[in-house]
Amino acid sequence: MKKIVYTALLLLTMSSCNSWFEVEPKGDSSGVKTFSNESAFRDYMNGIYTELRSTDLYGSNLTLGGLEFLSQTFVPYEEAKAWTLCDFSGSFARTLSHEVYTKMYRAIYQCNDILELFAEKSDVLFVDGSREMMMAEARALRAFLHFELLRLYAPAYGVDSSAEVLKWVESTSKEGARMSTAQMTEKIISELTAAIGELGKYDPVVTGVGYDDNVLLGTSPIDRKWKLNYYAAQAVLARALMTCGTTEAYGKAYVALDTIIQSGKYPFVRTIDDRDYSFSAEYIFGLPSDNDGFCQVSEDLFNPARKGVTLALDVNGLSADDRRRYWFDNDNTMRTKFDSTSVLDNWEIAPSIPVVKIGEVYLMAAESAAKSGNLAQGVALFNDFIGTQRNSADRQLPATATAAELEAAIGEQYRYEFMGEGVRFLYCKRLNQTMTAYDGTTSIPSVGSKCLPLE
Amino acid sequence: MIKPLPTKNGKLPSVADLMSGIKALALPVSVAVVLTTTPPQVFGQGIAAEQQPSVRDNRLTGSALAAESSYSGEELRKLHPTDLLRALTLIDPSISGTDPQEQAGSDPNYVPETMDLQGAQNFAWQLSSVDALPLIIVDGHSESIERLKDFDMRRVSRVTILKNATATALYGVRAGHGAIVIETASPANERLRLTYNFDGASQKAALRSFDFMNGWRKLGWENFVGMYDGQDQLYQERMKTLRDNGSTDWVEMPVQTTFTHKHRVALEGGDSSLRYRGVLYGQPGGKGVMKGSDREMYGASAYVGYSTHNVHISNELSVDIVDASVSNYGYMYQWAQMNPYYIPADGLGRPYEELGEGTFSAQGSPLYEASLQSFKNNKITRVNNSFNLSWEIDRHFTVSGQFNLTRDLDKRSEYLSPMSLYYKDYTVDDNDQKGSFRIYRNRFASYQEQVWGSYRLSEGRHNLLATVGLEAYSSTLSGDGYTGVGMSNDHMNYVSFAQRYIRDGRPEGGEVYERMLSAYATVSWSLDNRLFVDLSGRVDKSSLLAPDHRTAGSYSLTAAYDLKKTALLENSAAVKALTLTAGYGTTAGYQFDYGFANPLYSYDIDNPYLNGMGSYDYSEGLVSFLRTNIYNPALKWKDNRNVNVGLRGSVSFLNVALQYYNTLTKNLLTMEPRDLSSGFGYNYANGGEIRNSGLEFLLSATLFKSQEGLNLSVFAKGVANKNKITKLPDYSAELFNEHSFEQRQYLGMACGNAADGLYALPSAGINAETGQEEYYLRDGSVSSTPTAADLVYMGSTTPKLRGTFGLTGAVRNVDFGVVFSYSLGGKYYNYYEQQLIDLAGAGVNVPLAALNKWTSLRTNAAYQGIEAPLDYASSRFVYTRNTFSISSLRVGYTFSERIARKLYMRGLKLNFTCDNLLYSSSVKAIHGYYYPYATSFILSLQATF
Repeated sequence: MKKIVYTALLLLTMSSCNSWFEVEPKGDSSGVKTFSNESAFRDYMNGIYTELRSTDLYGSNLTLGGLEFLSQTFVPYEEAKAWTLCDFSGSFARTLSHEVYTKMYRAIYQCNDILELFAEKSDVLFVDGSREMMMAEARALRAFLHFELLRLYAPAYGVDSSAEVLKWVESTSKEGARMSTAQMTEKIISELTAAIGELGKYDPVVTGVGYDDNVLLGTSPIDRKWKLNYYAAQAVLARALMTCGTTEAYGKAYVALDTIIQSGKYPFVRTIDDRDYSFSAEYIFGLPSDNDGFCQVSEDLFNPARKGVTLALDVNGLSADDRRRYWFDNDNTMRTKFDSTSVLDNWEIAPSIPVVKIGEVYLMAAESAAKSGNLAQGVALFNDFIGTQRNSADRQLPATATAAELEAAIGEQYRYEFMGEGVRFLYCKRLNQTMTAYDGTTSIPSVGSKCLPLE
Repeated sequence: MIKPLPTKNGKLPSVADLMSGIKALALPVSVAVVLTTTPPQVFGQGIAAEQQPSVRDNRLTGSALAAESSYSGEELRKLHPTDLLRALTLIDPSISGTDPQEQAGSDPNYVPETMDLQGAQNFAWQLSSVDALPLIIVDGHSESIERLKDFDMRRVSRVTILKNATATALYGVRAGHGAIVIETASPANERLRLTYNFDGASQKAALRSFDFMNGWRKLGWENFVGMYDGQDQLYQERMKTLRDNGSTDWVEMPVQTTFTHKHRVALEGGDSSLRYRGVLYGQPGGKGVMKGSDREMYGASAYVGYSTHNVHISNELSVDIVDASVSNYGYMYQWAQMNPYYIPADGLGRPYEELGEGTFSAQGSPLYEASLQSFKNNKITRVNNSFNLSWEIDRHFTVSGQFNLTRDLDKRSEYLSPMSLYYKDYTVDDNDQKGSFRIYRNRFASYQEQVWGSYRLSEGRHNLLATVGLEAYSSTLSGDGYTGVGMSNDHMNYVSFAQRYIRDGRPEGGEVYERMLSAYATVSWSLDNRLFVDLSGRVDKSSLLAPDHRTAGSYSLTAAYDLKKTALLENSAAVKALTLTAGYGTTAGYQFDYGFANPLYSYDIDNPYLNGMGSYDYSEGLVSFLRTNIYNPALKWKDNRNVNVGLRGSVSFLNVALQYYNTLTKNLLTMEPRDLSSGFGYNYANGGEIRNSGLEFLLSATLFKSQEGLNLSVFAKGVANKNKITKLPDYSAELFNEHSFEQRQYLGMACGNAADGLYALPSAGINAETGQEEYYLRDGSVSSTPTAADLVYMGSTTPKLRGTFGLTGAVRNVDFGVVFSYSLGGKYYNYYEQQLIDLAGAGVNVPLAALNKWTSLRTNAAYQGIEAPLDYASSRFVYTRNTFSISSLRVGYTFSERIARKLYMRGLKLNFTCDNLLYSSSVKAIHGYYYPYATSFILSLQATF
């Protein structure tokens, strides 16, 4: 009998802890035990961004190959025509919308997954500050992705802030909570604000000291450009605040944007070095394209033998000395901006996908200054942007310009500044403007209520 | 087509002889024996407890087994003297699904990937293979199906097939798909005994089903369908070749008639305290009927046992070596498809590489391919050590332990010659990629231990036996491999000749683990040796269960009642024995792999986030690591809930065993839709149910028995199984049916239909204009562009009735037996008819039935034309099939002791067995698409010294 007891004890001690049963297979994939060191977390963060730059999201659908058409800057190819005119009932719109919705929520899932792993694996050692930075970044990224979904799928805040279209998801296992646009915007703003507080302390782009060591790469201040860093989060916060439309919110947005401008880290490209046509110095947050991905989308679009897309706006709307003219080609296309011959300075990689640029920061700052009661400051910022940074003194506004004149001038710049980046449509949507279609005649009213279709 | 055996009205048989034939459902270890004060017979196969060297498997007890089928080694060897798996499928009709497509034929290297013991309990989509096979237990420890395949048949003392959850409950979660329990013989209690066994077998391929066209017919048909329009010269050339050389029979080329032999020497003996045994066996040539396929085996084992009056210790160590080669002659159908008007080789016997080059019927020659040095082989080493310990503390308590170590190693080598036709499109630049040598090694290691105590009590009318045990199991399967390429000539058939690794290839590797800890208990109680009740339970905690539900429970309650002991039957002359059994049990079972319940991450090597090449200040590259799977940590095991009722006994000269079972498999793995905001469109769930119910029967009768040693018995047995999906989410069904339709499979899933059902499009015949098939769609219209929704359920592949019948007998020193197998009423999809006739073009050889293909001249056709035939699953190929075969035929002769003595032997026996003598089917189909079936003639000799 004793023997039984002893053996039973032996067996039980061997297995009293659950870890004996938690054996993970080895092979092409590995289980959560991989998250036993910092590099797995860093690589997972990279993985999330890698998904974001796929053609389903920023690699095409949310930029050059999809959303940009809604900005009415290109003459669309046949299949994209209905989509361009904001008729979302066709298969082009449905497919794109489904891909975007699925992949964005999947990216949110991954953010939640890594946040849960951070919480679960509290014993893993990190370079001091790196863990806090990544956690704040994942939190900011989750808020950013929710905001992107909100802008695309729900009516503009100013049109209907009570519409309950989307869910806020903050767990990998629990169902998300459905929220109205107002509730979700509030949530996004508070999450971003909290994350910015942490990033301000730990982000190398602010502190100037990276977390790289011999085996870990990718956190030197300059490399933060490829992640949702402190300044990018400030810009996203400003985007979110500006949807609210209140004087107070515009004021807060201005503060956030001013932080970026005052940092002086993002110069405009005023001389072209003959290679970097997508102006990588102006990126606050970009997604590096895979070896030829984004260039491929660009080539596919503008090559006359393929989709043959041409420009719908007049290049001469820009001043003669405006460096943005370099993006365009003689055949009325925009092949150069994202062409594979255009190589990024410093990284020697193909053009990347812009997500937040300094230009938008200036334009948003001018708008929020004006709308929070400081019109003169708004006009000054705009004039700095167009006159100094874009070498177009002839496009400057008089110091006495009215609010409406300023808004019109900013609106005009939204057409050119973000060619191929899918930004203008969301600007028009926020302000519930009426757009003139690419053909110059069709009018697209109430852009604020144009939402991507859900099923 | 099935001829019933003429039954003779012989003399009334005696009860004792009734079960000497082939038994199905009856368990000779009757419940009556199990619970008497003497230890149960199952423990020692007839050896009394005091002499019994060890307790091998404590779980084979109780009335739970009354519902299961058990067969002695002797019975099995009578069906097939060397192949245990074959003997089991012949003896027990409820074993099915080992080669569902009937394409592996008699390949000596074929190991079943699936096996059902009591109808299909899995969905057709086969999301996981963990529950594809039953658990195999040998003397208390588990073994792999590969080991079962090579099992030394002479070791077998008894095999019990546990189908009902009432019996598998004690084996727990690993036995969720049934269990095959093998007990091996203990050494004889004699001074010294030497046994020599010889099994010589000759195999001949059965190619009857390959009735393809000969050269003249093929050429004529090609001409008829217009292949020589404007190419009269080619036609005349081919005609001339045919006239000069005759028609080539390609199908005969890859096959051979083989002779193989197996030897086994066993030396054993002992007394009441010490037992020993040493065995050596070998099969130096295990050639299969396809040239080049071979499976050689060598093995040795040593057993030592020691007993004092209350302690028994034994240890058995065995080592096996298997050397397997896969035929380099490719697949049977490739040979059948060769055009018979081609001459395979030139005057010097060198095979042509390509035949009919540049014509519509260009073909690479499999004979050329086979003439190269290419090969595939697998060298396997298996070691197993079992240590058993048992201590009888007093007459009530016994404590036992069992410790087992298993290690299986194999190394596969695959060489593909650079001269192979596989490389014919490679350019000069690709020269360094030609020829390949792949090496893959697997290592399986397991440790199992069991400790149990039992308590035995006998008080007046009551007998009680209680056992409590603990079991731990841990196994690791790991494998790694790599491929080298770049051999410059055919003879460089070793990996060291490779110049480099394969382009875009990487080294492979993987490791999987299983760890389990279990506790079980069983209580058996009997009253007056008339009523027997067993209660068993088991709890398993396993690494293969989901993290949120790691512990699974199984239990069963069974009872048996000896009706013969009731007042009504006690004095009946006609009813000689009658026992009623009934049981209810539920067994948990594995059903998903690790990744269904746990997160998996992997590196996206080819897609780094940043692949920078800039100056050193900037990143050189940021790799991306991704979540790659959808998982549900709360998944549960599947639950088999089983009820069974059985009756068995002997009435007059007839021996009867009947059993009804009904198993509901609950919580089966399914997929369910999920809100996209969760990140994924679906998740895994436990939403499926399948019910299997059926009746198994055995009838046997001794027709004749005389004093002179002449006797004759007949038997018939069968199983009628019905299975039905009783619960399945529509989402899962649609998802699978869509996939199945895309893949042009004839499978599907729908609630209410059989789990092993066939699904096809109802055919509207061949369009007389186009030669393409048309189908009836759901809305009644006829179209040739169907969708998945138009698939229709065609019925279950499970035969309505399946089984064997036969007779056994003996005259003086000669004994004989014949076993016929039958199956009636199962649905069958004739995939081969579709592939080889309906979809065949004119460029390959076709069966004669292809004359019925559509052409513009023959518009009322049974098969589609040669131009762009549609490859959907069609009702044209669904048949109701009946099969009949002479599975085993045996004659044995036992030499009289007098003759044996003269040869210095104690005994000498000769057996001649014919396996798979004849197969016939109501559906004309290729039998053995990849590897032909063979008829074997086996001569076995057993000499005891």
